[in-house]
Amino acid sequence: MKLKAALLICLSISLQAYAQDWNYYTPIQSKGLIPSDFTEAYTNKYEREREHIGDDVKGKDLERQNNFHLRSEYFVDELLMSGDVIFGDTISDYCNRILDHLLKDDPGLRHKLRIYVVKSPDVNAYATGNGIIFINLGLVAQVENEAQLAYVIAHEVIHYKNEHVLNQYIEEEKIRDGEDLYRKSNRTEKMNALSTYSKSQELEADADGFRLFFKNSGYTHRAPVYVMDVLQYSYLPFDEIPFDSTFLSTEGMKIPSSYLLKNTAPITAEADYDDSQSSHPNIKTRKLEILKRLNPKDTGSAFLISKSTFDYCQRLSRYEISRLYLNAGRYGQVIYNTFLLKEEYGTDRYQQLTIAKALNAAAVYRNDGTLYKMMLDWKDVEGESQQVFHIFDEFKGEDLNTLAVAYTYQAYKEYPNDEAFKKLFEKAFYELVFENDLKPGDYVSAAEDSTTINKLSSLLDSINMPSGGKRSSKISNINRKKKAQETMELAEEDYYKAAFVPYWNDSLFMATFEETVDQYNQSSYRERKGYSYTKRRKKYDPNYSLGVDSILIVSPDYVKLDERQKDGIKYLTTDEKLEEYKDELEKIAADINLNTQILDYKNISKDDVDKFNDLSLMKNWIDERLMHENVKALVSDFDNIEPLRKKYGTKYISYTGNLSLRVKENNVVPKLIYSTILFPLLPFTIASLVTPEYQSFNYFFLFDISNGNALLAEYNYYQTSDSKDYLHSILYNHLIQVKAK
Amino acid sequence: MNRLTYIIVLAIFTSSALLAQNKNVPGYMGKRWNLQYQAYLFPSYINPNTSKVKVDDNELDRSLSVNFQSHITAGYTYSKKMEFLAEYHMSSTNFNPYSDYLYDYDTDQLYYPGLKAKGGAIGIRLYSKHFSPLGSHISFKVGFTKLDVEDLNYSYKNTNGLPQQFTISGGSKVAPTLSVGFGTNRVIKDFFVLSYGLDLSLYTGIFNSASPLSLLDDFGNYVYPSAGNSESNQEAYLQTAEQRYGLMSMVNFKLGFGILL
Repeated sequence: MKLKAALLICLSISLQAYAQDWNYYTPIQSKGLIPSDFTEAYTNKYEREREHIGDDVKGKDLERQNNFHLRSEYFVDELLMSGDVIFGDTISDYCNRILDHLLKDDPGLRHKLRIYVVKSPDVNAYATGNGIIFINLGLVAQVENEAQLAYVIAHEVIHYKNEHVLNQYIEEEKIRDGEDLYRKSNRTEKMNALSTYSKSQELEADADGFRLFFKNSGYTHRAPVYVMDVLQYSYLPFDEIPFDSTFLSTEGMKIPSSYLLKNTAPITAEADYDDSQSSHPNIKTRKLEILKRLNPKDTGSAFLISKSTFDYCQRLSRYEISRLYLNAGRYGQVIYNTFLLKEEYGTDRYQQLTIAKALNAAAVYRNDGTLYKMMLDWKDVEGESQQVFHIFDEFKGEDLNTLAVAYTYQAYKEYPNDEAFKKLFEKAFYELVFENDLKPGDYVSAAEDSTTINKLSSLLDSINMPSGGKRSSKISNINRKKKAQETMELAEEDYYKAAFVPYWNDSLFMATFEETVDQYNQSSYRERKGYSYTKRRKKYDPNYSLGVDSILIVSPDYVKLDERQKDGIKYLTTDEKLEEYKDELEKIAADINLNTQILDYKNISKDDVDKFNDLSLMKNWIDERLMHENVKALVSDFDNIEPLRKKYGTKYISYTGNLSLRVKENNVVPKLIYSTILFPLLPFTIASLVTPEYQSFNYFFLFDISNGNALLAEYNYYQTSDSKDYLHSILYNHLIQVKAK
Repeated sequence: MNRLTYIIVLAIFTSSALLAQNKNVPGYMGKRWNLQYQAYLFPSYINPNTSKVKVDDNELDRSLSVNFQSHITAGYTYSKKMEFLAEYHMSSTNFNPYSDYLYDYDTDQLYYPGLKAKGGAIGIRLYSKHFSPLGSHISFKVGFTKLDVEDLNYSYKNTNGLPQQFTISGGSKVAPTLSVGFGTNRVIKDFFVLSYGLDLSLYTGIFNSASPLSLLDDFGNYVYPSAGNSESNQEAYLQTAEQRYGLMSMVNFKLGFGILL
């Protein structure tokens, strides 16, 4: 009893420690000491994995295993450094506790494994050859209970235990090289063989995962079957609730019913789909495999660790997914997912902020004429979320911009001291006035609708005159028809015009509106159309300089490619060159007295988890900013990134990288033949053939995180190798433009 | 002030004055001066590079050799893609002023006379793939070249079979030179610069209609060498030297080494 009480106290303390204020939801962050997976050099990881190759592996097999580790460690490292992987947080801890439970009888295996969570809305989980199991937030958001999550983890454990990833790679290589059984196979046969092999591994993971780790774990045996349903419908949001259009409505603006579909598209996913070309067996096959092994007297539980923690983790995942959709510019998904949050958990400020951000960004893309790139075609969407995509398809520019202003203002009124809403409100008005040319006169004012005038109007509209008698039938009928026509027009075409009526007498609203209009009137045509803002500086303008003293360089990238190699990437050299690249950046910045901090996962000490989280947030911010390209949408994490500006003492963050490709010489024989015929060309041809040819690409961006502006966007192609002198020259050029006044 | 000094001073002052507006041009790691020594080389198939004389089997020795010119260049990065250029160059070689008719007669000692060329040029280098002064570039230069041609001394056997010395006086010639060059600069240790490329130059003196040394008088009588030092022979002699220089500077591979400041 005492023990139980102590456990409960511990649990409540730990829940409090990571409790979220849902109104002020903040992105999920890592906690605790940073695991060496994130900080250890790629080369070391590769060497360690290579040491595990048995002495009996020789020849081609040895080469393949080596290549596998080279490749696998590289891509796992890339994922770990992406800013999307988190550790030590509530969800990772919860998954690791499930793993503890599943492997309680196999501590040796448990010791080799660790689970990290990936900030991805896709419903997926995967294991790597070095013992990492990645669980996507999308999976946590959709599974129905802990037992289902446990079964997925058990499945992934088998993938690791039975070295499925390595085996799959070797089999692929054998098939590609036409070895053994595949010697006489054609392309289709090879594809089928690959698919069959992959499916057999999946079925093995299903069966062994169940048999070895799940069956006697105490979890309900129904979970493996039910989780297959979750996978079957995983492409849909976490719930299927009819979209209520009032979710997007404001006091003065209701979505017209004509914008809504009468029926949404039916769900088409089947369990028995054709899986002849896929890597996984179809759901029906997988279900049957598990059903064979089920204990009919199922006494297991859906929750063994904690239902409340599961619910908490699931809510976290679902909240985070709204943010992830925003980051990815999937505004339709943002709105439907957030609508589901409201339905499931009740309304809160975070949801309102998320919707305001989505409407704002969508309006900016609409004004840019590129919203179609960010929204799925409603005809391609199944289920209830289709309604959202259809509404956006119906929206005209004025509708969407007006809705963005009205929605944001309504939320801002609720949270008047909230800087995030303020920023969005001002931005929404800017877009409304500058991009749509809409002014107060374009809207129905409250004054026109005021009761006195209304009464007077209806008095005048009356057919009966006070002095007796009636107005002629003709005039009355024309007036009636005209009024009906106006009402209809307002309702269907310009329904947005009445949107601001409820706020017409709000001083803040009108002051902001008029102020924006004043700005518009005082601006030149160029400014209005954004020409001066977006005017590209001359690429080699010698006088271009920013006079910035301090920058933060976020996780530089480097890739060495070789077209002549089967794999393309020179993994080890890439790692080496990346370190050199960072050194050069630091050295050159020091030479020109540019205060530079390089934030990189490999340079963070293991106890500096805050820096790790900052870096992840900045990488997410940069990814979204790059996605926006020249569209002037606010980066959705603007409120989350703001504190970092103060913390690092600069608002300028840079993202840079270099890619170098050794080009494969093509058509060697024809070139030699032609040159032999035209023999004076022969020496030049030979010289050209023996001289290695390179193509390289370097990029350097500098962003102002306070407003998302790109101050510098340099792309340099150069048809040479990435030798030091070229890199020095380019990096100096970038940094001097940042520093020089 | 001679003409060459004037060109060089003008080039340096012009570039410095223009550069005052371009304070943020990076150059290479902030270094904008590119000083180089460049050797211009090209195989010489038909012209001599030595005064060595050999008359054997009625033929002069014209074995394969290499034309060689020394260029000292100063480049100043003006913009990210352009460098102003001032250059001083010098070279010496020999040439063959003799007519093939000569071999029909009793020659005694023949010498390939020497010529020395020096000159200056200004121009620009445009960098196509990288920032000046790195990577591949194309250059355009205009300048003057002065040729100093030494006297031609030779001997001829007189009717007694005894050698008799004759001389045609040398002199100087000056003509404009236009050049286009292609090349690549690489930087070593952020300080040294190594360059290589190809240079095409047009020494405009090559257009002078060089005529062979006059061998015959107006009546068709053989008078050479006794009339060798006539005015027309002197001119023909210098024009032959110009031909030689013109050909020598026409196409050259260049290899350079220098420093960045």
